[in-house]
Amino acid sequence: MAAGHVEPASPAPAQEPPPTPWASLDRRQVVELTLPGVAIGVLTGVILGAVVAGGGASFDVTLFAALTLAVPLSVAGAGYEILLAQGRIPLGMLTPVALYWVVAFTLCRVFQTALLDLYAGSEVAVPHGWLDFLVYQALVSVGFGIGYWWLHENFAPLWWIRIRERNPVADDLVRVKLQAVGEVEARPAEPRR
Amino acid sequence: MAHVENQVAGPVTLDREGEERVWRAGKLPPMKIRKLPEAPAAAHVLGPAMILVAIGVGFGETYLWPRLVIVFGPDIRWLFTLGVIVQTVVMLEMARYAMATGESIFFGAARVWQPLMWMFFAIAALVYIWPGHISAGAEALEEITGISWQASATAALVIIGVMFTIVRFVYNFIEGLLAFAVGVLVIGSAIVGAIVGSMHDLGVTLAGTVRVDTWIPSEAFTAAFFPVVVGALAFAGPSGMQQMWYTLWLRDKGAGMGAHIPKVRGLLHSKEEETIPEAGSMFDSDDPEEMRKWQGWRRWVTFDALVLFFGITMLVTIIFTVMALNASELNPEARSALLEGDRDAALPAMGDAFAQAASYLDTVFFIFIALVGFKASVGLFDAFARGQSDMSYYFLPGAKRLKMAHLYGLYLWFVLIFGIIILNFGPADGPTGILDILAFLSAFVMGAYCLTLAVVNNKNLPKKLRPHWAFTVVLVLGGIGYLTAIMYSVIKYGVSDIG
Repeated sequence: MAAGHVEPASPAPAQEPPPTPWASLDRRQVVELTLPGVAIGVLTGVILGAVVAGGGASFDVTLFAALTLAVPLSVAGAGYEILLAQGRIPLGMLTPVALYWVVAFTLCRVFQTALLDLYAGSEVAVPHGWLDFLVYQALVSVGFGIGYWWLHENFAPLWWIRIRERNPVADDLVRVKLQAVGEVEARPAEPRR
Repeated sequence: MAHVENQVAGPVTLDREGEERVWRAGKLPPMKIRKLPEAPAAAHVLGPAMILVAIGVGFGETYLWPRLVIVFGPDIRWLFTLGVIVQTVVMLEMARYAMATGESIFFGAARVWQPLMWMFFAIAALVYIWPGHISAGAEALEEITGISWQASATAALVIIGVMFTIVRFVYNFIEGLLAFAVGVLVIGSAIVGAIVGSMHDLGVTLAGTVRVDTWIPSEAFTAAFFPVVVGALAFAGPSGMQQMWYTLWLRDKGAGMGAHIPKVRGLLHSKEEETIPEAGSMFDSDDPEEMRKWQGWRRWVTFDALVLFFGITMLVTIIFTVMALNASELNPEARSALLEGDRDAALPAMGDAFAQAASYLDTVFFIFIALVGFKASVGLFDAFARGQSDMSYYFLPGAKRLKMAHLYGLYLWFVLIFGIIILNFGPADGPTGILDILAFLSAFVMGAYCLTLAVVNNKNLPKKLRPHWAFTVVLVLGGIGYLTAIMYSVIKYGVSDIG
């Protein structure tokens, strides 16, 4: 290379934004993040199954009633967890949870009611008409949303703490949670006079 | 006896002469001026209202109020709304004292007049040693499974005792356990409500919740039902002494100045107990920075009160009322059976009413009653031991030779062993001869704590921390209301058994 030759400075590569924790996750890490939502869906199915079985329904009816509710709610719960992990739903706020479940819970109930009717061999219909049904389910879904939020707030962080070493999103969620709770739960010891 | 240094007590502040600054309230030891910790950054961090909800959302919401709605229709529900509004104000005011001082309301009452505190001690001892909650839950379990209620209740008491003995921090444990129970209750209620109800039922329930022009049906003014209406009013939200115990849970949660008081430990971890200060502490209410933090704590507890306490209490009772309306529409005989029936037979009658609406609904009803009974017992046994040990530690001569964990363990095991004996050999609700007195005291104490709280917060706290006059009015009217209702029931109808 000739002395004195000044090579044109190559333009510095544009600084790419640091990848978000979500972008770095593999499939297994995504699946394990969905566990709290899936677990609450399964729990709801178990509650319904216990209620139906306690009423003297046969095993197949109990199983069918429980599964037709647990499966769609678990899928919806997994969807909620993914939106949370992507940062599209803020952590811990009640209103977004309630709004999410107004839509998801109502759809799940439509799905379940239709399947139960088909299983019973009857026409898909509801007692007071579909509009009444949809509005009523949407209103009751707020109750489900509060229950979901309650269980999620209390127990999902315990799961994230377990997996935070191997899951950057869980680690991030734990950090946010600790930041919010820190002043109450993890107050630093102050020197005693 | 080796004491572990209190790791959470903050530094006291000094005045210009180098003396420790204190806040004096009554003749008891003054409160040292310390720093108020920062409130949680997010108001939605769950507080101890969760435990209050867990034990407070119970028989009133799932049993007493649905029964009243079956008998009188949904228009009587405005009384429930009234009761819960008063209880929400009580909760906010209980939190005001506990967070400002780190003291329990019992300590606050003692600062006003010590015999007042001993009155609450005596009422708690009389009312809460009877294992009535757990026996009701166990009876509902027997309806579903056939397991003898004495066996399941006894086993549950032993499990509760062992759990609270071996855990390190009792509060953390009970919070997790009851959080799960409440979650199941809320989700279960929503699912059942979604399946059995309709827009019409929900509409009339919501209208009845806010319509005050319907007044009280004339049928309610009878010896059979007026005491039930009074009881249902008292059982709207937390009943008896539950709100008073809430101040102890707030302290253990480390809310406000409660951060400067060590947590109650399980008996097996009593050696780790820190030195407990002789009184609570106070922050400098003339310091704007401290007042900023105080506002943060008030926001935190207000979220707890409005969303968790008011919201969940209303939600559960609305769903159970919808279920009750559904049952009464499909089974009109249920109303007349309940109206004419023996009140002791009300639980199976409610079960029958639900069963005739749908085959599985009586099971749903009994499952919830069982859950409510057991979860209430977990909270109430802890609360009883916590309250009695707190009053004993500070005010019973010689009690400080023991640690708080020892006193807590003593009271806990006393009430559990007594409960086991009574469950198997005696009347679970208490001796028949004093049943009326116990029921009377349970409602009386609510009136008494409303008035006590109004005095404590307006007398013991610095002016800037005292409640708004409107809250004081609600407390005073609430107290007079509870006392008048129970006295009227006794004088007019000669009945104080409001259960």
